[in-house]
Amino acid sequence: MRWQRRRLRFTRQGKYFVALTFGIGFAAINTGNNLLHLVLGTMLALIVGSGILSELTLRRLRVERRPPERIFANRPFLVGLLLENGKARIPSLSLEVEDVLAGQPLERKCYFLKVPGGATQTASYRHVFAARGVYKLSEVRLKTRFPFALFEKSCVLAVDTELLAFPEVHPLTNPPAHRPGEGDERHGRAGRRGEMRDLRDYRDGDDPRDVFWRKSARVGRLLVREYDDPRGHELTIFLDNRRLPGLAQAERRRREEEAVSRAASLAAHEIDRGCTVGLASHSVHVAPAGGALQLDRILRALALIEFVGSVHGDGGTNGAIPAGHLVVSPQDAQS
Amino acid sequence: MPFSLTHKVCSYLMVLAALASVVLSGGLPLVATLLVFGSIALSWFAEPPRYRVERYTMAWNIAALLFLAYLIVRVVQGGEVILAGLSFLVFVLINKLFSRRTSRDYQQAYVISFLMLVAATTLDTGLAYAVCFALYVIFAVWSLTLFHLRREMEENYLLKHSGAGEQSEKVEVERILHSRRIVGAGFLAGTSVLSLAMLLAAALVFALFPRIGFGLFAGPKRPGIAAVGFSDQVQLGHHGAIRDDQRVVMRVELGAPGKRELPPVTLRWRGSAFDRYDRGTWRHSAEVAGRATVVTPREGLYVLNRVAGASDLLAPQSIRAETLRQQIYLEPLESSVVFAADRPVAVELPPRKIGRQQPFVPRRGPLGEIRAANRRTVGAHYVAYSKLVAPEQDRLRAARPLVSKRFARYLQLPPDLPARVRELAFEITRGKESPYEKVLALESYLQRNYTYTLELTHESGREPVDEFLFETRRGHCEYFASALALLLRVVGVHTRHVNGFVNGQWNEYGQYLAVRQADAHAWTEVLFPRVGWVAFDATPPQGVPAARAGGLLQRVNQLLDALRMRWFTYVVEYDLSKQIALVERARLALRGRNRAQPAVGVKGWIAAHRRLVYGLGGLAVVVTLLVLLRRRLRRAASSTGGQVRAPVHPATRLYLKMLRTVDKTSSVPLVSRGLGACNRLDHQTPAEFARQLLASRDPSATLVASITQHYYAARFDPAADVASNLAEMAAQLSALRRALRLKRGMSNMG
Repeated sequence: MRWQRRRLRFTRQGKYFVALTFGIGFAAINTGNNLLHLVLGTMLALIVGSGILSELTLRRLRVERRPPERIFANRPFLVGLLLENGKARIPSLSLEVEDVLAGQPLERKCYFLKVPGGATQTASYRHVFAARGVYKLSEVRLKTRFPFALFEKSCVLAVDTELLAFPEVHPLTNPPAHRPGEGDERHGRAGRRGEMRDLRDYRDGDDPRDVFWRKSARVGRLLVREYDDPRGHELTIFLDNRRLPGLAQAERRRREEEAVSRAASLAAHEIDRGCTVGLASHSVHVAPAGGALQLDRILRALALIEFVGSVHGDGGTNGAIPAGHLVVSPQDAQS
Repeated sequence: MPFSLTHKVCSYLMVLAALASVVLSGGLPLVATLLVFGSIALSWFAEPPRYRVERYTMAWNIAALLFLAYLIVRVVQGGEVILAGLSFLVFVLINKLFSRRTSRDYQQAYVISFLMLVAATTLDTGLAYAVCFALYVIFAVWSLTLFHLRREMEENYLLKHSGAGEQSEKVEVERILHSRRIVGAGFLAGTSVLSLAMLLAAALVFALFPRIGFGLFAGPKRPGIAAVGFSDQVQLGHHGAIRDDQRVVMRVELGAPGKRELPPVTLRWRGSAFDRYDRGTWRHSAEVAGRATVVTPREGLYVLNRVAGASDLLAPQSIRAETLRQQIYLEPLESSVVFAADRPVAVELPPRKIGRQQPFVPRRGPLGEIRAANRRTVGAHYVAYSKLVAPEQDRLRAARPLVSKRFARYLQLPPDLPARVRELAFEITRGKESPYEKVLALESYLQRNYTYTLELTHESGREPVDEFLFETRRGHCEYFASALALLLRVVGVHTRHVNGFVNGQWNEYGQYLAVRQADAHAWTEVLFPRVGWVAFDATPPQGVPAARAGGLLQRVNQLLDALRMRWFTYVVEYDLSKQIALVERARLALRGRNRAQPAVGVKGWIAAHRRLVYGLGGLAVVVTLLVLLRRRLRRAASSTGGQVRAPVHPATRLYLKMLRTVDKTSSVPLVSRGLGACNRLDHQTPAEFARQLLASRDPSATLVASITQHYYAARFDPAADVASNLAEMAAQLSALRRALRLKRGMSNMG
């Protein structure tokens, strides 16, 4: 790993120690007492030794970030930090690793007491994203006060990770009843364990039990079976992502996020019930499908969705809401 | 050792090292020292639930205030501030050790111990401090590192780090503090190496840090040695008390640097001289008492004495060229005498430190001695030049009796000197005309007829010399010297009594002469017209300390003293001149190396770099031994899985026996294993091995399979009867051995 620029900061004890060193130095020069010179030499050596040891602690470390698969806004999650000591024998002691988000270190840190040479350890910290969207964690900061806590030496390692915070999902206390026209109810849609309907390419998140091994072996790529869902309904949620006019920005923003969260909660609820759910909006469209993967697709789309134009038609949308969709609009949000 | 215990042990060692530096420098009286160490020992056990800090906080505070008040009173009454401060620090340290709970308490104890170590530098500068200091640095590195880890543990959100993919869980600080896995012997060894590296770095800083002392405060004090016989007067009989005192009074490097050697003559280190004797006491007569001549240095030399028969020795250049150069490191003495080999000619002082006074200013004493003006109780370092060559005997023999009222005081005799002393003097010197003959006759008489002893019985009221000559006929050097001086005075020869040291002990390791209290001696100086004062020694040879002594203990002492000498020379007395000399030597060494002729061939190179080759060779041997030792330890550890060897289950023992039995005959390829050779592959379970034998139709397969089944049952089946399975295993193993023996016999026949 290439050498990273180090930052050095005095700790409180370090300041006292340096002041004491100056004091002893003054006394040594003043009195000519050679034993004081010896004490002074030792104190200076202690400072140098401290620098060398802290450098050894920080050298050849590798950090890997291990976020959870799904992150939801306003819900705490754990991010694992894997620390690998690349030195053959020398352990790294007393290390703090903190994640840096948009140049600012996160509040919670991971502390590693001892990472033996050649070993790997994992710690995790808890964090909450207040809003949905993309979060770019570009670096981690390694800090140590080892061995004497005189100085805090730190370096920054580039570890790029993009985290996508899904919208907040609430359990629906009052789920909408399926009314004719809003949810198109029909049989024979792709579901979990009905009659086999089709074959398609394997996608991440698919149940391995659905892999059609014989066919896959023949064509040379993984294929999965799609089944009819004997119980399910098809539902397309339409998120009206046009900006609301005449509201203060904070209020507008709150209503928009509430709408997104309601759309996500609806999708989660319906997919959990075994429905085939799709998402539509003025800018994003997710074709109806079922299963956990579909929920991820919808949540991802909702995490990234932006509110554009306005309900009066400006901003490039035609303002038409397709019939037969379950409409979720910021206008419906509680004021 | 658990982490918390390791930290506690290291912290106590650190504190004790600092305390030892104070105690060994005389900062605490004996009773206080015992109390302090007792308290520290008690504080080790002062932990909850046995000892609750909060109950005693008030008592400790009151005690601290009272003790502080007591120390203030002591200081007001004239006690030393530094000692009072040190006492208070020790008190606070004990308090802190009794109330240690968190890492902060330990931190405060460290600060106090450091202050004690610094304060001790003003008390004593001996080798004991060096040892304490080195130990303190090692223990401090351990303690500070462990302290840091402990505090980080206490302050951080502690997590148990699981394997990759698993989440970490919170654990209690106490559990971590009792963990044995955080620090071990390797950690302490590693930090010890760091400590040594730090000491080396400290030595480098020490050597290179500019010595520009302003001297606003006094330098380090050292307790003075009470030097018997070097005050204004000396009473006979005190010499015996110091004859067993092995403390070194001065260390002398003889000759020019690089040519240190012991001259083949008796070296008398002249100290004080006396001209008046009265009832067992030598003192200065009224004419000379308190007189000392100021000498102006010439080219850095204080020329003090003219030497008999060497009147040309006046110019500094000739003094430096023709006399014995002695570099003398004098311990602090409670006396103003400056020593030099007999007969001292001149004294040279080292360059004065900036802002510092010279330890003394040499003055010419009235009786040929060197006196120090403005002498302080500090060690002194100076160079003396002496002329050792004794006057030729012919000149002494030719010298006629001195007739001069100017020197009448050297013929002074006590009025109550018994007549028999006078009669004895005349009787011994009967027929001797010249002063020299009289001296030889009396010297020889005393040496032959009197015994040297340190165990004296003196009857008060008796004239000591008379008692020595006629009653006890035994005595030490002062009696012999006094008797010779008085007897010679009786017969009209001018004498004076001289106290000093003789010879010393040659230190092979440091190439210097260590003069101890035990080398104290007295002799007589006789005045010869046109020759001057000449030393004579009436003490029998067994009473004169020899310069060389053997024995293991002596050698150890010499080694320690050489270390002490180096410590003083290169650390305590290190100054700007030495610093410049060091830099100059380094510069010359580098330049010399650059200019050196390239060595021809490998042999030439080795010859040119012999020290380097030996050093590297030694290092290679040490490293090889360490690697071998480590490998051996690792092998031992791996054979026990790094753990303490657990008792082997009897079933396992039988199974292993079976493996060794089949190993000798089986057709399956051999694989070497730690516990002995067998043909079971490392990754195979016993069942797999048995199946493999069955598949390969090995003749022992059936029995092996059966033994394996019993082995499994004995080891892992809780419902099985272990004893019967073991018995079955043993029986089948015997059968297996018989069968294999039979098979081997048949194959041999075939």
